[in-house]
Amino acid sequence: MATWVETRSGVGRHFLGVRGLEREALAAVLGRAAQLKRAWLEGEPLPQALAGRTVATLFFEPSTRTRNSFLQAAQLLGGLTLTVEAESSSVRKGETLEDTVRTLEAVGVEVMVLRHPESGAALRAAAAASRLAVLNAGDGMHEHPSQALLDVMTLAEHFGGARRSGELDLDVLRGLRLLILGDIAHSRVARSDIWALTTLGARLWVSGPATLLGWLPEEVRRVERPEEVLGQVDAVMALRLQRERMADGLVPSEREFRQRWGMTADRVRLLPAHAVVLHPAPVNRNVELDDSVMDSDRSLVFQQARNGVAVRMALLERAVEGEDAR
Amino acid sequence: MSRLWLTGARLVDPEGGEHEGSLAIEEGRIVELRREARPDPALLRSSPVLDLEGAYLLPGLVDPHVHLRDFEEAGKETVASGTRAAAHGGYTTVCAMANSRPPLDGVEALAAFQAKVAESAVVRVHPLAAVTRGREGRELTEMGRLREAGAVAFSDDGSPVADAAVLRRALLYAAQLGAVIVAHEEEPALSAGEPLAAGETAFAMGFLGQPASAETAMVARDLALLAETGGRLHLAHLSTAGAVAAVRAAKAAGLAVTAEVTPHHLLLTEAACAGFRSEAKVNPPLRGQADLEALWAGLVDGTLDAIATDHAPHTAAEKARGFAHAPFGIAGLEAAFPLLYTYGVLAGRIDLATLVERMSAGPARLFGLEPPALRPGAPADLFVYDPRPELPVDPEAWLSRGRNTPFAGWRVRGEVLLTLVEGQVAYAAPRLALPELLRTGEAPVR
Ligand SMILES: [Zn+2]
Repeated sequence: MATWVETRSGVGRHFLGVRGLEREALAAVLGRAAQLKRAWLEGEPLPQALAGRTVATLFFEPSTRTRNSFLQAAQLLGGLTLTVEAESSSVRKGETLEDTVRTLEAVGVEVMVLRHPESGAALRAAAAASRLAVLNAGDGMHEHPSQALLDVMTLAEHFGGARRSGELDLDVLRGLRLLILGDIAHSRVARSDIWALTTLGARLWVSGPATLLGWLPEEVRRVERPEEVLGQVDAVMALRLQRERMADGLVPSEREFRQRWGMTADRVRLLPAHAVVLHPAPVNRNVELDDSVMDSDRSLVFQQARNGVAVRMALLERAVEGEDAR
Repeated sequence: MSRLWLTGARLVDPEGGEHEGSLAIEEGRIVELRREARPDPALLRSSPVLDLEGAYLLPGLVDPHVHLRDFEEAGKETVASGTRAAAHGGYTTVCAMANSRPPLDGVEALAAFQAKVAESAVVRVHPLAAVTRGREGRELTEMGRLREAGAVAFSDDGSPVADAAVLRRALLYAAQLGAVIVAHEEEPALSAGEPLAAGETAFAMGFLGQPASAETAMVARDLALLAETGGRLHLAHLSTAGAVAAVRAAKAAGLAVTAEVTPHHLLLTEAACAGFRSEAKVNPPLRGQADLEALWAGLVDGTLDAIATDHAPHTAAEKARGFAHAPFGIAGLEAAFPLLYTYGVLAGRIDLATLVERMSAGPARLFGLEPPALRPGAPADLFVYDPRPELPVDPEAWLSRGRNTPFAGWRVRGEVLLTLVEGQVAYAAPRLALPELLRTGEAPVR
C-alpha cells in the first residue's frame, strides 16, 4: 500500500526540501558550496565528482535560469548532462512521473533534477527511484530548496564576509531581520526560505496583499505595510509576482502592487544603510524592484545567481556521493 | 419451529439501556427478550443456543451514506463486496449514494442497481437517487417516480448542487413529495479543488487548502433556502465547527434539518495528511482540533443525528497517484465501529448507548426507515461485538475491495463476531462456532 512518508529530505542522496532539516545539515551543504565556489572563482581545479555520470534535468515548467544553473554546476564537476523536454517527451503522452523516473534510471541517469507544477512531485519521484537521486528544483507551491540554500548563502556571505573570510559563518544569520515581500501564499521560494532561515535563527516579517498571504507559521510576523519595519530590517526578500495573480483577481494591478508593496526607490531610502535587497529572479522590473534598486549596490540579485551554481555543485556532489539515509 | 437463543451477552438496546440479557430469534424476528444472561434451562431445552459470554449484542448499524460503486467501477467495489464489508462492520442496513457510474438519476438506472442488490447484497440496501439529471446540477430528476421506485432520499453527493436556484426548486418539489434532500455542503468556488483543509499542514505541503467557509457558506445558504421552502434537508458529512453551530441554531429555530458526521472527521485532523499521505485525502477535508471537538459535542448533544462512514473505496493504484491527483475518500465500513468504540466510548467521549443510537436508530430515522431494535417483534437485524481482543486495524483482512484508510495499524479494542440480517448470517467471524441453524451460508437479503 502506497504511503507517502515524509523523508528526511536533505540527508540522503535525494534533496527534496529544507523543511525539517537541522542546522547541521544546512551547514554541511553550505560549507561545501562555499569551498566549491572559492575554487571555481579562483580558477582552481574542481573535483570531477560527476565524471562519467549523467545528470538529467526534467522540467515540467519553464525555467531557463534554474535549469542552466544546474547544468552549469553539473558540467563544472565533469558530469554529462541530459535535458529532457517534458513538453515533447512521452511524459505528454500519458506516461506517469513514476514511469519517467524508471525510464531515466534504466538508461543510466544517476541524478534527476526535477521541476514540476505539483506540490509533492519530488517526493513522488524519489519514492519511485531505486538508484537515481532526485534533486527538487521546485515542486508546485511546496519547496524550492536549492533557492533557499543560495539565499542563505548570499545573506551569510554578505553579513559574515566583513567579519571573517573564507568559511561561511551561518551564525551571522541568528537574529538577522528579514522582510519577505509579496506573494507568500503561492511561493515555494517563500516556504523554503522561511524554513531555512527560521532554523538558522533569523527573524522574519512578511508583507503583501492579504490575498497573497494565507496561513502563516507562528515564527513569521505579518505587517500590513512594509513601512512598518523597513527602518529596522537588515534585508528585504522581494518575491516574484506572477502575472496570473492579476488574472485570478488576487491583485488588482501591478501598478497598485508596486505602490503598496514594491521595493521602490522611496522605500529603499527608509532602509538602514547596511540593508540589502534580494530577489529570486527573474525580476519584474518596476513591479517588485525599481530599476534603480535592481541596479544599485544594495541589490544582491547577481550574487544570488552565482551562489546558485555553487550550491547546486554541492548538491550534485552529495547526490552521487551521499549515503541513502531512507 | 426453529427457535435460536443468543445468551450470555450484554445487550444495548435503544429503549432499555445496557443490561445482561438473552434473546430468541425465530423466522427472522426477535420473538423473546430476557433481561438475564442465562434464562431457565427449561426454556432453552429444545432450542439451539449460541452463547455470547462477554460480548455485546447490539442492534444492527445503519449507514446513511456509502458509495457502493459497482457497474463501471466494479474494480473499486461491488454491491456484493460492499455489503459483505458492511456486515463485517456490524451494519445491517446501508444507504447507497447515487453517484455511481452511471449515476442513479432515472428509474431504469435505479432498477439496474436494485437488481444488483437483489442478486448479491447480504445487508439491506436502500438507494438514494440523484437530485439532478446526470448530477449536473441543472434539471431535476423524476423524483416522484424515483421515490415510488424505492429511492429513500435524493442527493447529488460527490458534488454539491452549486446553483442555489436549482437546490431551491429541489427542496420545494421534494417537500411536496415528502422526500428528503441530502446536501453535500461545499461551495466549489471556495474549495477550488484543494486536496486538504487550509492551515499548517496545507502550508507545509505547498497547498492553499480549502477554507472552512467552503462548507459553512454552503450550509448557511442551504439553511436559508430550507427556511423558505419547507421540506426536509439532511446535511452530509459535516466537518466544521461553524456548520455544527449553524445546524444547532437552525434546529432551535424549528427547521426540519438533520446532519451526519463521519468517523474520520471525529478522529483525525488535517495533520493526518502530513507527508502527502493520500489515504487521508477526503472531501470534505479533515480539519483542525477545534472542529473535531465541536463535532463530538454536536454528536453527543444530538445536533448531529447520525454517524455515516461515507465509505468511499478506491484502488491502491489510484491512491498512489500522488497527493495532488489521488481521489478523495476513505473506505470506512469495516473500521467505523471498532474505532469509535475504542476512541469514543473507551476514551470517555461518548457512552455506548448514545454511540449505538447515532449509528443505528438515528441514521434509520433520517430517511424514515424502521430503526433496528432489540425488541420482540422486531426483525433480527443485530450484531455481536466482542470488546476484549486488542487488534490493529488491518485493511488486508477487509471484505471491501477498498483498502484505502488512514487508520491502518491503529490499535482497536474489539471485533465484530456476527452480523444477522433478518436472522440470517451476513457475517460470522471464522472463530465463531455457529450452531447448525445459523450455518445456512450467506443468503441474499430481499
Ligand atoms: Zn459528499
